[in-house]
Amino acid sequence: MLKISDVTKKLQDTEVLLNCQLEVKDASILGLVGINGAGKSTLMRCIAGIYKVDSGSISFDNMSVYENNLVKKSIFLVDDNPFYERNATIRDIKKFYECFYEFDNSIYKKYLNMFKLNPAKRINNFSKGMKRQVFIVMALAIRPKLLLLDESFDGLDPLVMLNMKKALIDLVDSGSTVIISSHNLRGLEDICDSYALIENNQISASGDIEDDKEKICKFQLAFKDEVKMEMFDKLDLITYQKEKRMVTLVVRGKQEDVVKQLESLNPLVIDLLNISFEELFIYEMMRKGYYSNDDTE
Amino acid sequence: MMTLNKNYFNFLNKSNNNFNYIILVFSLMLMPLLSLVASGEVLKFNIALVFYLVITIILSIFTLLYNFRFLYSKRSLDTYYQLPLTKQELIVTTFIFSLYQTLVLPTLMFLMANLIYLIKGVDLETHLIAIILITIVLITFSQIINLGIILIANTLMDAIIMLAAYLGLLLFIIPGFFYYSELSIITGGYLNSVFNGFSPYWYLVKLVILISRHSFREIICFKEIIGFLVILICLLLAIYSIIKNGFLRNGEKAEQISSAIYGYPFISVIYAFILITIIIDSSSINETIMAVLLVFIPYVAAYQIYRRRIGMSMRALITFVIIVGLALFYQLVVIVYLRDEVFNQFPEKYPVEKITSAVVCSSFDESNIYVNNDVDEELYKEILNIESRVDRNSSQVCNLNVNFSDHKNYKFPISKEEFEEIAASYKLERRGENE
Repeated sequence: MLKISDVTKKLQDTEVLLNCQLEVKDASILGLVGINGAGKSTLMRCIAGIYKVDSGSISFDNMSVYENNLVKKSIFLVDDNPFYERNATIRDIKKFYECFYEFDNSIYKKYLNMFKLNPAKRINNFSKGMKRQVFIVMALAIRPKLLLLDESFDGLDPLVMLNMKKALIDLVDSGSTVIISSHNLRGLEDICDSYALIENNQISASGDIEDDKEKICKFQLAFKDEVKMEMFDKLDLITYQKEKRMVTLVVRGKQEDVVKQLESLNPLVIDLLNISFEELFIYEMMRKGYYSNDDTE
Repeated sequence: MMTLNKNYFNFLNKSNNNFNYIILVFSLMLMPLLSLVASGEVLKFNIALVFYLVITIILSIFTLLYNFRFLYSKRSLDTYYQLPLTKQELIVTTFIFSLYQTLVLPTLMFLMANLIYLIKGVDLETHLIAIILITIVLITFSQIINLGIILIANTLMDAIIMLAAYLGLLLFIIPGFFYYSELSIITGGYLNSVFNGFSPYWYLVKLVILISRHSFREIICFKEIIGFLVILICLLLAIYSIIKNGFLRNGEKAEQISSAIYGYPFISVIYAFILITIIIDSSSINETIMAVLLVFIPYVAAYQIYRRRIGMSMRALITFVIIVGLALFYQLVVIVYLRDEVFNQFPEKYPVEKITSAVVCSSFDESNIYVNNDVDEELYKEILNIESRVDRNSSQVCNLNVNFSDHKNYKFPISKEEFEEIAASYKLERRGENE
């Protein structure tokens, strides 16, 4: 299990992470979300043992990560812009990682074929997405117990994305934990079990995606008479949109309780709409004041 | 405990095949080439030796910058720091690999180049072993110091600038200890002042004289010991820098401004001080003012490079003013006082005849004898003796131009008779006649 306790990290005298707390269960996939500059990449680097935390601790399987070769051998970070020597081929990169990790050649070949990557080709001729694929293949062949993907899913084409998701699910089935930071929340929703939201340098929300989605309900209502916002004062409204006698509401609370309250207003129609992970993120950020109601309309 | 990671070392060795190949080709090609050009076995041996030293010194800098370049890019540093390697293992292994690259191939080639003389039965074994051992020790020391310097920087450009600046500073110091006589032979004493006259070593000697009240000669006797101590201090400082900036290096430092106090701030202050001290020592007041302004330009340029922006902080300006003040104080008070201290140590009088035994003159003209070698205690006493007996206003006075141990040239008036006596005793030729 990955445990982040009270982690604070400054970069050039600016607090990037402040008292961050998070626990990630084994064999699960966590989506790390937050606006640009929230501190996702810094947290990833702290977890990977690249940055030393100023205070607090990060442990994996009850062992501190920083400067601990034993733990670092089971962690692998794929950056959004991974490093390679100028003329390096995929084979060269494999040789590099083989020196430090237990490398599974059969998995390496399997995914290389799946993504149609030629090991003899120089990486600097590849597109950004292909470069990421190369490093994700390396990560999969290393079979780390904790895989960190820092925006490395963004910009992949749909077919590659689908194959990547399958590969990650295979990895998790073998007992590994995956943390993915991404701005593509729709992409995350399919594979993530849980999420953590970073804002104002802190992990402000975390938990199971499905559980949290159930805490927010989205309804479309039609009324016979004129509708006023005050009618919904008893509800914990997140958004309110009105068009003539039609109203769309996003409400915090248990679905059954909210439905009961809405029924008491005698609407002609009550439609329960699905909420995506992306909407969950947006509503959460709206609640914190990052977006106004108008932004979502 | 110093730990070498064998896997990483092997990877470095395999992945640097091309670079190793270039070193091998250079070593292989140039040695026989030089041997062909040279005639005579001793000369061939010397050329191979010079080449061996030159190639190892160049490689000691180049391999270090090349192998540690990963420290100066965020992307590469992220990759290297996430590997299951401690920072200590990473630094130590990369350092040992750089040392291996610098020494192994050139040493093998040096041995091969001299193999022919060994087969011929020329007695070189002892020399070869001594040269190789000395080179290994010197290159190891120099690479430790170089590593300590480049680790101060956060970008490759800063690393190169700091290495050049610190090595330039060491150039002032090192020849003062070890290569002074050699420099005198090569440069005829003319460049000694550049290398030594303003060397921190000489400042140190003068300050020791001032504090301890010992004589100049007594202090000079400890030249080798002081030299060894300075090397030891440099090594200790380098090891401190390796631990602080290497083993404990922060992952987020790459590509940031190199703000360590012993980086740009120290370098710009020490260079400004040395340059201003030199200028004040050798210029008139008007020239000094102009020259100080000229030193201000590189000082400002260094600040722009350091901060990566146009402009100057008030703190940097005040620092410069303080440097000028300190340099003025140093020259006006310390050196003037010390000059008297150094050159008034010998009150006794010695017979004039002895002068010929101490002087080695290079040439003379109608009124000047130029003495290139260091003036030792005996000679100095004799010069004082001569000077005391000469009527400076007499038309029968010639000049004995002496290059003193602190690399300042002085003109001593001597009588025509003594002038002829010295010239005759050394069978000196007039300037121009022997050229």
